[in-house]
Amino acid sequence: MDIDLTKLTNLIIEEAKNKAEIIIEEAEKEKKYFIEIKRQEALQIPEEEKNRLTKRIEDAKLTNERIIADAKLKANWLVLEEKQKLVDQVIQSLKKELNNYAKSNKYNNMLNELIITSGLVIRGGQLIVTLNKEDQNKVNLVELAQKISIETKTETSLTLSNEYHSDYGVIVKSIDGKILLNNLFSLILDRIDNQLRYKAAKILFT
Amino acid sequence: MKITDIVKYIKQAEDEADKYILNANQKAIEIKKNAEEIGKKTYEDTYEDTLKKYQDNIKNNIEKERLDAENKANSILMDIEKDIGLIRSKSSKNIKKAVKALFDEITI
Repeated sequence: MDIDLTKLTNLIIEEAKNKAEIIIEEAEKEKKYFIEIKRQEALQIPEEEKNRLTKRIEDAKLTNERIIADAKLKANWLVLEEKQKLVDQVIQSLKKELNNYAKSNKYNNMLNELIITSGLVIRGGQLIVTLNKEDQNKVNLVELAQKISIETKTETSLTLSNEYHSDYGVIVKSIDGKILLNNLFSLILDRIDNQLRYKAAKILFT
Repeated sequence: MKITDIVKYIKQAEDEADKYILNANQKAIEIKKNAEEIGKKTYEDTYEDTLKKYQDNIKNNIEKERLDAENKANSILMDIEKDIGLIRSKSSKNIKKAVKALFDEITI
């Protein structure tokens, strides 16, 4: 083989080697590119997963809003409860005051007034008066009946009932039992309970 | 040198050259295969890591907001305790006044 032929065959082989190198280099480049593309793809969170987690965030927000709303509600209840306790305290003290008052002389006047008022509301007639044992000696029923007669222009008699109660105040009823006026302290207080509580709250909290 | 020998040498060189190209192509196929495996693994590892970071981030935010909400709720209840204390001290001065007013309303 002469020199020119050797050169030619060497050239063919060298070219092939270069081409082979390029093929491998290209393959390596593609490999790097492919791996990078996969890595980039993996950095993206799929919409489905994002939606699932967004739902969790929204649920958590609702839970948090409920925690705060519950606290506000509880706070309001605590204030109301405290105010209720203070008003209850006033009502309890009032009952004690009324019990003390019932043992004083001033109560006699009130008791008389209650009997007269009850008689006037019933418009007189034959009336039965129920008192507690203690109060039975504190009233002059004949005198009170006269006052009712004058006011109502109806002949009135007040008869002490055989029954008695343990509360202060009076129950007056017509002899046929059709009309009854209960002015016992406990009932008066029950009747105007809302009014008393409103007034107490106004004084206590304004 | 005879022409047939020349052709023979060139043919030998071309065969050798083809082997280089064939090997290179074979290697390129292996590289591609390897790229697919590495790409798959890279995807899985990276995605797992990305998802974990994303989930952890959201979990931490949710936890932080929950703690904020609980702190706010506690603070509301603590403030109300103070308010209740004020109501109690202010009203206790007026209890007697209220009792007297109601008593007068009933007895007078």
